[in-house]
Amino acid sequence: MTDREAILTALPVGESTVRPLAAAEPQISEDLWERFARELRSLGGEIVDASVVERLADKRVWCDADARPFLPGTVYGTSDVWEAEVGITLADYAIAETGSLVLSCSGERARLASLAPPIHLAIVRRSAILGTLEEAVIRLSSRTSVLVTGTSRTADIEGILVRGIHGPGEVWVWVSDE
Amino acid sequence: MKRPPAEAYARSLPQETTDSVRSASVLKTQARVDTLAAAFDAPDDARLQAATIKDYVLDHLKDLLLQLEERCTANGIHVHWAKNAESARNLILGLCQEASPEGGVIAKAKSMATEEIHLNPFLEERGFQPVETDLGEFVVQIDHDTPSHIVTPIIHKNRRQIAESFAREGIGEYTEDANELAMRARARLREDFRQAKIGISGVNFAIAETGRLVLVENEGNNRFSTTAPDVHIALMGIEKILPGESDLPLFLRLLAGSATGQKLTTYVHLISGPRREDELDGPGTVHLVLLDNGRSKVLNGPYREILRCIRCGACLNVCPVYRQASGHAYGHVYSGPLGAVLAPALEGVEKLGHLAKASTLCGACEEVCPVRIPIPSMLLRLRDEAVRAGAVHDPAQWGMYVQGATHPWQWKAGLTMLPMASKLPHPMKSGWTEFRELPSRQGRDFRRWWHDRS
Repeated sequence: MTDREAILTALPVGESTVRPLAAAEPQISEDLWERFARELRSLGGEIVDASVVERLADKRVWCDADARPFLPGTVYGTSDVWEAEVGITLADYAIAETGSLVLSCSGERARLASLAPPIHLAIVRRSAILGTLEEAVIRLSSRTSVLVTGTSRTADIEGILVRGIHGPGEVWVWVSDE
Repeated sequence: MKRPPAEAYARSLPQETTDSVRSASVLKTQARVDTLAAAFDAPDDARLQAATIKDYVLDHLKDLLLQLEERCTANGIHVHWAKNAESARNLILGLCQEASPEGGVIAKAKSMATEEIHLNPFLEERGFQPVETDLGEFVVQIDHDTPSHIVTPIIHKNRRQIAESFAREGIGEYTEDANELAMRARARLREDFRQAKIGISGVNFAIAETGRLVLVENEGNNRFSTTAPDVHIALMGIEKILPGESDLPLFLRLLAGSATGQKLTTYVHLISGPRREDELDGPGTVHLVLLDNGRSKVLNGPYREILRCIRCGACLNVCPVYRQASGHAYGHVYSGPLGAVLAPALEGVEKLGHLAKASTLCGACEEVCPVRIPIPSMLLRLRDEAVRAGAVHDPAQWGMYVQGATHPWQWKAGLTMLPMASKLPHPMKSGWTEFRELPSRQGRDFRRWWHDRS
């Protein structure tokens, strides 16, 4: 008997209960972008504007292909995401409830762009704000995705908060009107 | 007299360890309350809802596993089944040898399932070098220690001890600066991520409807381990299924809130399969290993509800015994109230039933549990089973009590003898008299007083 058969045989045929409904969704009554900004800042993230380009001037930058139209051609220099100091991505959505970004991978987006560089700059279209996690989950891409909520962090040493332990210690979000 | 091991261990702990564990657990317990109160209008309703969903999963586990297998396969994930730890270890070794016949570095993300099957030493003996990449697990590994908490593995260590370990291993000059220690670990482990051909992780939730694996974390090492290497091997207990993605928000909020007092963990990685042809990075191969290792047996028995557990660690943080004794006292991968039920349920009451004694039955664990597992009543049942199985020495010698209470003449004879008892050496007393004097009898005999009262 294979392990698969052994396990399936050992499992009882349970009661045929009805699948429970998903839990009630929280209500967000305030302005969604305001809530997003508040949550993001509380997690060590930063809201930036178009002037962020100046801060990129002397840095090695990885820029996902679909984020490039938002930036002048001078900023995206490196082709090695491991060596980049800044990773620039275009987020699918921002979630107001938790200050999260929804990022999916694709032919134009590297999974490591939001992870390997010490600074992550996410561009989000102003129209791409969602209220809750529930709204985000039903819109997820079928490709591998990630919800990013603030900076990489650890509190393993005596509960002391350290940012940027493996992933980015700085997360900048630029809300674009384009 | 034989003591329960947890008690003996707690007595032997240095004060600084007890201090570390207690202060960290107290902080987390408070953060949990604050976060859940803010996240839900009615946190108790949310917990009940989560319990109902997990019960549904347990009721339909067979169908959901088959659905998960089908959807994962369609997504390009190779699904394997392992009935026990040995089978899982050999299976994973085979996958590793296929991916990298010459051995080498494996990027390990934190996973209790891999701890449960003792995977690291097994792979090390066979030419692989599994590197724990979570900061806490990294410290555990360089110290040849074991995690003492399922979420915060080095809750038992303070900064000075960690600093000494880093210095001993030659990871820079001695420093107690937490930020500096973390950055050194970052630099060292970054090289391992680039070098590793294989990444091994656990799974927090597997979605049956979509065949997607959901992994949560704060550091980013889990994303690295499952993104950078060519081959990703994920090991999950068969109970870790959720029916659909619509169930995720509730569980993500409850897990983050209960585990660390966060609204959401920094990263929620939703893995849909290996790198697609047009994608720029990600593993070319993804394996999912479904581990039974006693779970199907638990599902058929009286401790079934322990399989609702989502491994948040809230019951550890709130438990007065855990706070005093720390996780190592339980002598098992799963510690605290959760472990005191899960460990004997998985591995047998005869072997681990004594863990049920490591509890005051105060009920705090059930109150904080995000899936409302009735841990205290399970512990009571386990104690009964453990005594019957002879796994627990009965220190109060209730057998004598039962004999007396059911035979009145023996009871009376016993009472007549009792005044002498305080003068006799007796093994029953030694636990008490080790640290204090047994008080001598005061006043008159109750029965005589009752008889003479008029």
